[in-house]
Amino acid sequence: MKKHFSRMCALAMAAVLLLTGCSSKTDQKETTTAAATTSAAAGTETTTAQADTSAAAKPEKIVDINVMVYDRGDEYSAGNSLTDNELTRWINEQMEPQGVHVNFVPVPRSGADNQVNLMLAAGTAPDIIRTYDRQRVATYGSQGGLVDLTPYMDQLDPAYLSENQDAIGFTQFDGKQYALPGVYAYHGKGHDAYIRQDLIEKMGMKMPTTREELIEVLYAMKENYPDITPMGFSGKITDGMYTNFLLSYVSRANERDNYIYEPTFTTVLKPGHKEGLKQLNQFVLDGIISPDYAVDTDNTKLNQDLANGKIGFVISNAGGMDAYSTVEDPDYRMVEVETLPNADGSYEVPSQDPLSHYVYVPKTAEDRIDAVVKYLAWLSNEENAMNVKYAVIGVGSDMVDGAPVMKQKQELIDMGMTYSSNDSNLLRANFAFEKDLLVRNYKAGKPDVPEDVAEDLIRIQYSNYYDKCLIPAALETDQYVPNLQSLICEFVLKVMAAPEGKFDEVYDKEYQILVENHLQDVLDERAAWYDANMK
Amino acid sequence: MKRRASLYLMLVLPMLYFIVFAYLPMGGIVVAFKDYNIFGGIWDSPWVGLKHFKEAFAAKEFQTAIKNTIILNLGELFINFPFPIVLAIFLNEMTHERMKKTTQTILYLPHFLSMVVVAGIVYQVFGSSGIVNNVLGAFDIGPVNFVGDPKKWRAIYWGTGIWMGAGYGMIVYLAAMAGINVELYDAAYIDGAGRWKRIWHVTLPQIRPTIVTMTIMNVGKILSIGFERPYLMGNVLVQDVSSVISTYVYSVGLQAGRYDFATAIGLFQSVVALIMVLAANWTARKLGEEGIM
Amino acid sequence: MNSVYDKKWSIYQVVMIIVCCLAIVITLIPILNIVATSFSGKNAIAKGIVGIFPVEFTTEAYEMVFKNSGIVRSLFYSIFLTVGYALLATFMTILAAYPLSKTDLKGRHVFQTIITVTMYVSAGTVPAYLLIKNLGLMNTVWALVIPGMISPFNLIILRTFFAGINKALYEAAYMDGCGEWGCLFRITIPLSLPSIFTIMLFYAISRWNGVTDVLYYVNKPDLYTLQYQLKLMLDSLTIPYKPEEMATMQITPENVKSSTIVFAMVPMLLIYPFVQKYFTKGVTIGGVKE
Repeated sequence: MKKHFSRMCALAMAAVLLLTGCSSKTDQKETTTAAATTSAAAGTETTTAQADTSAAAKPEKIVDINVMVYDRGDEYSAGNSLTDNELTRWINEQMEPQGVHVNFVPVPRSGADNQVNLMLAAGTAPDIIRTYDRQRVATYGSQGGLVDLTPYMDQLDPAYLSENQDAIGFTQFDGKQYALPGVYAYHGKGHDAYIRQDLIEKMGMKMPTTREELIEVLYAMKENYPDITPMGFSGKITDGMYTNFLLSYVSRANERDNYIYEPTFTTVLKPGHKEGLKQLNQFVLDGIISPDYAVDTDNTKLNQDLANGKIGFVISNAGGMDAYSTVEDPDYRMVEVETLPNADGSYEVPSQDPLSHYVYVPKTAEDRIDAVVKYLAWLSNEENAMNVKYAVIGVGSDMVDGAPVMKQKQELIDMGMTYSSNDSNLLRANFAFEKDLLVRNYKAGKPDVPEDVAEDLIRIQYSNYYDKCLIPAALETDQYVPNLQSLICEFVLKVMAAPEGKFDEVYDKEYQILVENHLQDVLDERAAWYDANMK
Repeated sequence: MKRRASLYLMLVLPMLYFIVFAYLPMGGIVVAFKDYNIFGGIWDSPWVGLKHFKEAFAAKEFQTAIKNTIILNLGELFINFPFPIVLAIFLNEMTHERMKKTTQTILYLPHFLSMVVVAGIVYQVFGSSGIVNNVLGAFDIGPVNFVGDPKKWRAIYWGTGIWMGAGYGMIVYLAAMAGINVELYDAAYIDGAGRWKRIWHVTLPQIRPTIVTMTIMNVGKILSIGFERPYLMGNVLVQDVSSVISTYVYSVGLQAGRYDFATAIGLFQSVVALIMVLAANWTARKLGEEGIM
Repeated sequence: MNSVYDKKWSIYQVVMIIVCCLAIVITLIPILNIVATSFSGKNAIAKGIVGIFPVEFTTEAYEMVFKNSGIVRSLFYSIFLTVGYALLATFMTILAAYPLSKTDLKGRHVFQTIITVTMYVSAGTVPAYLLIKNLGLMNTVWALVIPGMISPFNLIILRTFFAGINKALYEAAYMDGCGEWGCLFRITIPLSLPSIFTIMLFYAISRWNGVTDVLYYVNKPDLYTLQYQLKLMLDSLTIPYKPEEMATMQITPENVKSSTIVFAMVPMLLIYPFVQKYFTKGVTIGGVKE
């Protein structure tokens, strides 16, 4: 009790100190001293590194660089923090012999882009920044705020460059390397569809392999299982739920069309999409999709229905897999299917973006660009990246069957290590060997999913996909795209809700709204770009 | 004279605060007339005159947004604004101390819920399979589509505002009533005034300055509307009534990082607000009230 | 105090009690649902079967919060910050409200206009951010205190309350040789405790629950407030950046989300009764507290 009290007092005192004297201690940071404290944990490898520091190195000058790191409110043991933990200390042990000291700048994961935007405007942004938003890189680049990394590319790891040529080309804007790609060694479908195999079998039907068969199955479900909604849908403003279905009405045969329509959410507006919308509208009218879908704006109802096993078929919502642990029906069997071939007869769907994210360097970092590039080069090396992702192999993770496995969260906290180490692994999103572990990892997260269901799911998810044709340049009309994206989702959701016999009327009215918001301008500019650059 | 001097002395720090933290950054409003490049800085960005204003006013969505903002805010002003006052008066008249305190405390709680949560509650309660429709169903009515029908949606919007804000808004009036001189009530009682007369002749006149102040401040907010409530409570079926200025600015401006555009619309809102407040203040003073300026 | 008059109005009281009970029920049920959700298990929440009592009772959401040493530290820090800020802001607001409540103060309308304008015209995020940066407040606790020092809304309310104080009291005090500072501390403040505590409560609430300024002006974990810390934690549960992460997520954010709302409400529930105490006391002309 007494101890408890004194601890509270200490905390209280600390708070007072913070309140009174923090402006004086804003810029305290640890530099070389960190090395001494870590050597015990890091083992032999580190000893050599340390020897380097003392003997070979002592580089004439250590340059400080600032690197953004996501702040997820993680837990750290006393004396450690997001910006000063075993991983950051290890990274600096590696970098200091090269004359670089890395400071980490926390940016909250949610709203990171807005925060960075402010920092850029104020000139206080970190030297290395990551984003998931391609548009931002294009805009910043065209505003002259980013360093063109072209002259520094040859300093990056040769394997990183040769293995990711496409991705690197894709991070060039108007010929300038404004970003480096954080790449997937493997990637898969961006959309997936799930269906209740048990219900289909009970109805004596076969698993649908075409859209026509799927429609037949959905109507049969409606008839035989009145308390089940054949197709799950919600009013959330996102393209996931319908894209797969609408794409089954359109073709990829025309490359020019692909470049015009595939960027952003416009894919579903390709010629032929209207028929698909009409079918979705019919689904709503016939109760295949719940007539109340539009008011379920945050998926609450849909997710509850999935968790209760009340949905027959759903696109881009893995809730049916989690439901293995909540549905009481022992026969419950939700599986991933390929049932919607496109107009060319292929099951291929757009992949998840080929890149995980973009890493860019703002102009404010120009005076220390050599140090910045040194760190990027270090990160582009596969072994270094693996050590960063797995919280230093031998420290935060152990080798099991030739693959590193992270230690338990609590263990990592106790040793002063971050458990979000992958956030610092900027240039490689994942590694080829991990692909073999997908089923195992999936099962670890969802132990109630049957082995064969998980295997099929992974097999389907990582096959039959194509990368969308995206335009590697910043276009004038890009500024309209964020708004247009939500408007397109709303367009689909509204047209689907058209009353009996009013489909064409609603369709024309809502399409007009898209046009008024520069849809045609966007498509025209892309067409012009294609004609100018790809012919 | 020394007395006066010390009054101005008291004002020094507060006025300094307003000048530094409110007026100094206002220079940034010029981006409303510029093509703002965040790397070039505010001053070096090129002037574009009224481009952003023209873009906004040419858009049909913006006109709808203005109309919706005004309708929703007028509802707030006439329906939601009097609610806390009535509530405070009735609670003030209540003699059951424990009940009075408990009610106050509990009614004040919804203020602390985030809009995400409240919107979730609204959809659960008023959805087609929600509690309200279940009750109506028992009387063979419905199901009524409260959240998907534009007209009913407005009522739900205002109702939510009352539920979230009335208890919190009440505190100000309770504080005002706590300042009423007890002797006034005693005198009224001796004159034989009943409860309603006491409310009418003592309580209301005594809290009138507070009511007037709050009214003027609210009139100025006719074009300003929070982003979260209409955004999170809306859905595609009610967009024609739920899209407001803040949601428009979000989707067209902020989402695309267009500070200049957002600032332009903010400036338009400010100008309208100031005109409204000046008018309300002028009216109040004509009616013999203090006003806020 | 009113009770002496009201014995005979029992029907009114009964009706009022019924109305209050109804209001309490309408307000309390959703809130109980949130509390129940914060103590409920993942599966029960997923199936949507949690009512006003927890289902599959668990304290994992709270354990997760309390196990995080950063959150415990920021709890104490937030209490100090909130109290310190509320005191300072209230003091500054009184400093401005008192002179402005004097109807004979020259230039009063100018000052009031300057203040009112700031309620409706704001510069936007970027200029505000630049200002904080240029003043060197970035990453200091002052960035969370000074920019919100006076809320014009609270100031105008308090000024209205102050203006309602009987002028005869001041006249008498001036006669006795009392200066403005003396009047402020001996007459205005003691007579206005309900309103002063009210705005202090408003300030405390805004500081306790405010996260945007922490988001913008502070990126040092030491200076994170409790609500911000909780928001970070919640966001990291809600938006995992890789599909694999989603699979290993053991806890439903729903119950953590609910627990953060409970965290926002509990402290305010604790301090409200102290403020409430002043709402039931009348004042008498003598300025002596009863």
